[in-house]
Amino acid sequence: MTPATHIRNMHGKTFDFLLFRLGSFLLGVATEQVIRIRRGVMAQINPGSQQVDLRDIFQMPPHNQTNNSAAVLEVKSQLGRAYIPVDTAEDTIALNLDQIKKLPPLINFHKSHPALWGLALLENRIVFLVDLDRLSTNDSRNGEIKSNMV
Amino acid sequence: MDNLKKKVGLYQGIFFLAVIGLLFLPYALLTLEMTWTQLKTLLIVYAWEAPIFAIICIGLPMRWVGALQRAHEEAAKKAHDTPAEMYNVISRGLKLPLKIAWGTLIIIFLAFSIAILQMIIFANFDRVQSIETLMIAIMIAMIYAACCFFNNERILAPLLGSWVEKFGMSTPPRVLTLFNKILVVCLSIMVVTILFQGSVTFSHSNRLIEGLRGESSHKELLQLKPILQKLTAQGEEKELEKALSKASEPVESDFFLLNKKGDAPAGKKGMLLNQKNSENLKSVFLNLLNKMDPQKPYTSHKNIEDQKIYYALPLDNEGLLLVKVIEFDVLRKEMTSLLGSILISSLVVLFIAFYLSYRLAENASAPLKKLEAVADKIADGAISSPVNVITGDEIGALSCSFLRMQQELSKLSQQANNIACGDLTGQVEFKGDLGKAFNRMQTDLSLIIIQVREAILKISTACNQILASSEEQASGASEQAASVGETTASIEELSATAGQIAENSDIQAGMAESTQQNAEESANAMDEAAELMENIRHHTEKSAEQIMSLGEKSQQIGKVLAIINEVAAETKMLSLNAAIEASKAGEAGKGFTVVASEIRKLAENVVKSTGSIEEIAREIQTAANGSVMAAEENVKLVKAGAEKLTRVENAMQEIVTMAEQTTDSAKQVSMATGQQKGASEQVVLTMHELSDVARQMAGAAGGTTQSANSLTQMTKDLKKIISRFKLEA
Repeated sequence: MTPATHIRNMHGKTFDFLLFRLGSFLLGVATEQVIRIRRGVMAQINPGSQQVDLRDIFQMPPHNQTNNSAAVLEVKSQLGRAYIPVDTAEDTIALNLDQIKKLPPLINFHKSHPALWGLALLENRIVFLVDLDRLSTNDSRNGEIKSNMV
Repeated sequence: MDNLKKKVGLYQGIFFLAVIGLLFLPYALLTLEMTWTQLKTLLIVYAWEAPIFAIICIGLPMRWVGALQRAHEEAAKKAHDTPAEMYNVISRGLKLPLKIAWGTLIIIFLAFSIAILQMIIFANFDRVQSIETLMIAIMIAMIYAACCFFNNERILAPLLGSWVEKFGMSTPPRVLTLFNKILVVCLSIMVVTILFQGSVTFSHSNRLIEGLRGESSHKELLQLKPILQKLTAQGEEKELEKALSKASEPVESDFFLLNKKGDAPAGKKGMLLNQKNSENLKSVFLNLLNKMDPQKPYTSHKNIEDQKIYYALPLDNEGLLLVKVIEFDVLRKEMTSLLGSILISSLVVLFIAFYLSYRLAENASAPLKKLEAVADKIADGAISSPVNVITGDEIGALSCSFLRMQQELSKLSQQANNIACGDLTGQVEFKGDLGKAFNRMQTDLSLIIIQVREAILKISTACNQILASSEEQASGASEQAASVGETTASIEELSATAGQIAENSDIQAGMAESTQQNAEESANAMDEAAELMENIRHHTEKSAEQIMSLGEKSQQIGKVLAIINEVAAETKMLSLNAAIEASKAGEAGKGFTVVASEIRKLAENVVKSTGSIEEIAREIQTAANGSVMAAEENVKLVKAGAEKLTRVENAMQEIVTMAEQTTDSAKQVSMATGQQKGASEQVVLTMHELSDVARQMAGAAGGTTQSANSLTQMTKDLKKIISRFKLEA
């Protein structure tokens, strides 16, 4: 598995990302980090497993509405196997390194987290790329990985 | 055939049989000296002529009588319009006996004329026989005509009398006056008498002349017989011939001798004898010999074929006869001469008899005419007209009776005049019922006048009362007339109003009828509308059911779409997982990545499409729900409309019923108002009549007043008039 830090140094190569939507944001994670995708909410899928709530992490408002397209990403990170509930699993895309940009400093991303390592511009969409491995390294400041023990 | 015609025909036949059959034929056989041939011819002629002329003499009068009765029936139908026609019919009836008499006279005379002509042609009737037959014919025809006249007049008289009585004719037409009737009868009797006497005399004269001729011939034969016997005995034939020639010198006779062989030994040069042959002379000899009678000095023989008479005397015992022959013409000349003298004397007698008959008829009819004129004047009221017909016979007695009747009537007239002048004191001296009646009338009249005087007093009192009452009545009648006039004006206004009401009622009845028709049409339309509403409700409910079914189907679509979405989502998940796995596979999984991407896109498209479908289905469902609600609403509305329509229909039915009742009521009102109008008009007429009556009553009351006044005046006048009558104390 190629860490995201390594990806920054691999110009001219393409990388596959899984795009998912969380609220109004379109996020993307490397497919290498994703084990599989499951439909439904977390409680239905795997109760008692490790859950990563990106909303909390990225300080997004909670989503109260019923969502039929809700999915749970089963990912592998440094912390181990974790489950990330998302609103919608959108797509898989292949991005050149050239297409991936650094986060511009002017963007008011006061909730920015070290896991957000770049962004890609796709036609009329902006995809925020998330590095799942860095979620655990910066949990004190930007969020925490919860263990939902049922 | 009625009784009158039967009676006329019967009597015509009886007289025909009596006069023509029983009178003529024996008389003709006795008076006319006819040969057997002539007699046979006469019977033949009689056999065919008598029935024919009997039918004519019977049938013609019956026909005339029938025509008269028919004319009477025709005239009687329109007698009131044309009395002259009835007068003509009665005149014809009165003339009918005379007409029948003339007809029979002409018919019988014609029959005899034809018979005489036939006898002359076929039976060698000589002149004497023809004249004698003609005389008999005239006599017979006159007798038959006279019988027919008197008999028919007797038969028709009652019938004509009834017609005159029924028609009311004052004076019947004078067809044949008494004068003419007497004259005709007298003349007829005279003519018949003369003809009868003439024919009998003529018949006897013929025999007398024949007898005288026979006597003279016998004398001549007796004178000649001794001379001829002597000359015959001496045989001097020349002297014998001379003697016979000398005896035959008169032209009308010849003398000759005749023997039994039919030869004439002497005197055969005679002109008459030369025409005879021996056979004829032999026949003459035999006839003379057969007729020879010892009691009679001579014998004679009439040979009709030769038209000669032979006188004979026996000259010797050997059958030689001295014969004298003469021709019939000699006798006829003598008879014609005799007949001429008879006719001349008859004409003289006829003239004298005519004059005497005329005088007789005039003597009988002239006083009767004068008496008739006097009677007419008396009938007209001229009682004092003088009766100046005084003769020594019954007519004179009748005149005296007339005169006496006139004098008595004058007395009655004088007494009536006295009564007219008011003198009721005297009594008329008049015998008989009329005088008694006159005197009773006078007595009763006196009593009546007394009673009238008493009554006048009562009437005078009553008149005064009537006068007062009639004045009051006149006043009341005038007031009544005025009231009636006012009432009439009011009733006329009422009648005019009733007329307007009647017209309006008629219009209202028409409108009600029209309303009824419209209501009935509306009711029919409502029935149709109700039916349509029911159809609409039915279709609406059906549509609602279909729409609900559509909603249910769309819901099922939603379920299906949910399944599809679920599948699409799973597919997407699978494709994403596949893509992840493919990307993990590196280059080897790139192709699979593409496939997974395409699958994901398809899944997304499916989701999008199902979303659209879901949206559409939702819209359909929403629309279906809306439609169902609308349809339910429509059904409710239709039901409500149908209920309202039913109510409207019931209301319309009630309207129709009420319109019918209204129409009937309007018609009844129209009829009632019409009757009211008629009644009010009748009342107006009655009021007018009442008004007229009231006016008439007022006028009558005024008239009654005037009449009462007049009556009062009249009672005064009557009192004056009655006071003129002088009554016995």
